[in-house]
Amino acid sequence: MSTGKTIDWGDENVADDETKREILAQFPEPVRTTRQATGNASRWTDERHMRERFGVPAWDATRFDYPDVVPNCWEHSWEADGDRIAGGTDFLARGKPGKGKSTLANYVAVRQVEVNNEKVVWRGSSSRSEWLPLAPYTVLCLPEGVPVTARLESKDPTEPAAELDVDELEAIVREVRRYSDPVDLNRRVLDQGTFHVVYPDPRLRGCQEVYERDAEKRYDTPPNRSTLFAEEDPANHWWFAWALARVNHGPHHWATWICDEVGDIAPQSARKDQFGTFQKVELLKDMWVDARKFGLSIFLFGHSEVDIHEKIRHKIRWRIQMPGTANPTTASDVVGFESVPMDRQVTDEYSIGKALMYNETHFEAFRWRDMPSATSYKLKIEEGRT
Amino acid sequence: METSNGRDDPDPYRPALVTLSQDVRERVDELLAGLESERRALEWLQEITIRTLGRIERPVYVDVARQYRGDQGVLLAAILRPTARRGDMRELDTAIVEQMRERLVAHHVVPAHRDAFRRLRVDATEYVDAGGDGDAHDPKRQRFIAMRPALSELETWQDRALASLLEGFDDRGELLEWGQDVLQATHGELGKEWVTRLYNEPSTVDVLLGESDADARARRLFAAHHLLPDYRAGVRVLSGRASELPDEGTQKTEASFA
Repeated sequence: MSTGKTIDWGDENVADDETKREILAQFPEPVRTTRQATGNASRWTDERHMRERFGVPAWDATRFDYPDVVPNCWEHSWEADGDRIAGGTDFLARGKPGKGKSTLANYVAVRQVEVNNEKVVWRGSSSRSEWLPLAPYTVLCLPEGVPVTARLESKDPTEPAAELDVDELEAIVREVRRYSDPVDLNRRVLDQGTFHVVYPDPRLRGCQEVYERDAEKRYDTPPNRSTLFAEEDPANHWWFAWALARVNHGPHHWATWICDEVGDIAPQSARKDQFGTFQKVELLKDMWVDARKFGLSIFLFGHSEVDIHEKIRHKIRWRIQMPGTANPTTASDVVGFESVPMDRQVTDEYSIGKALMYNETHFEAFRWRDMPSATSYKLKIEEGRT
Repeated sequence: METSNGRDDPDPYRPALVTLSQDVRERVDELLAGLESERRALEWLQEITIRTLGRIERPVYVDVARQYRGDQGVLLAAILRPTARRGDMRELDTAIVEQMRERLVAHHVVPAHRDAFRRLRVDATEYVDAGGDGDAHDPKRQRFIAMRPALSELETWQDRALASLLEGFDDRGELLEWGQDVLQATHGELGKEWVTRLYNEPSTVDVLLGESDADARARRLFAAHHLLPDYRAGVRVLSGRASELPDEGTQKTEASFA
């Protein structure tokens, strides 16, 4: 509802063409020579190339004392074996900003591609681009038929931003693909052994249909409307329907959903509002067990436990405590855990690059490689609705 | 049976042998993933030298030294990550890289590790009451190389002498002090005139005190050519005598890569 302009906004200070070229030149060339990019099986795989770039040693489960902690969470198998659980896995990584969550998310993405030939889906969001270290290998998935604007913004906000056309994004990422709805994305667009960044469809096309097809899932429709999913919902709500589509309609290749800043989607504060946020949290909770069965792993990163609703927290079987904050030593601090194996606080003294993973029975520290971005620019991708 | 180290390996009653193997394996993993810089390649060679008790063959050191002469050599480029490659080597084919790294391991590290194992096995102490109890004899808790404190002490000297050299010196007098460190780091296995020549030869002094990138490169060549082979000799002499000490009370300090 526009009431006309009262402020003279003027023109924003935008980088000229030459500056834009210079900014783009700071990004490493997209890698299009690998097996995934060429289809040539004699080439190195994406994961081998990624590990080479960042010096990530090959996965070796025997480095760990407890096979049920890190190895079980990373290695996915359809058969349970001893301490190992079958199917997809999950974790919630908690830590303050700047403690390495996003780097760990990049690292885990590489591992999942390496260990399980996984289809990795990174939840894209308009304001964040922590996936840029992996940009040269990224298949960027955008919704069809919506206007998309992309901007490169310096960490120094006084520098002018560069505006990009969608075509120009392929100077940064390997490929830009479009999808029409969640089922189309899963069936046609996502590839095995590949890293994808997916931006949700702000018009939520197909979401209500995916929901209606699942006869077992029925939730209160928000007041004054006839559907659970609707175009006016926040674009984030697309993810609930996407996860449901992946679980119900496949294909059921191993897939990892990497969800940085999960507080944006399903926080403890979710209410039965006009968009049905709480009902969708319940939907995600109710599909959690099926996600496991159908090979969808869900890796969540947040600042604190309350970044994610307790109904979902109850379902998460692994936790990662990032450095700088003490790990819990009693089960009452961890919703969904009946016991916590640690009897001392250790993680508050860890340095960045080292964290503690635990489940109800064991805990073990692990490290990951730093995976810096080549530039200090952030990529903001914004979608219009029409 | 679940063992203290999480694999189905037998419980170690001679942990020194296991410690040695784990140390070598960590270095091999790092090599296969690519080393991060030319400097790291020298440190890596130093670390693998001491962890194979000096059993890597001498020609390897000659080959490595050649890599640092002039343009970056292909062997060096192959063991480095792409970002650390120089000149023509930036175009190096990934399949060649993988092959060269594996060949280095297969032809040189594996046989040297075997020899070191055989060298150590005759006097690796058997702790008959200790297998699998996760105590001071647990291989993952050992701070000392092959559980031999003397080897770890030697490594500290080697680290220090190598780091000082690569960083360069401020004046000529420092070279004499450094000579003392090198004596320790090589366990005395250096020529009688080694330090004296270093001090007397103007071109050597220029390189050791120089601040340019070219001087830094020349110092890496110096390390590869003059220092690492003597390190190897020192390790070989010392490893015959070092005796074993289980390192009680040490926490497992370093986590593994997830």
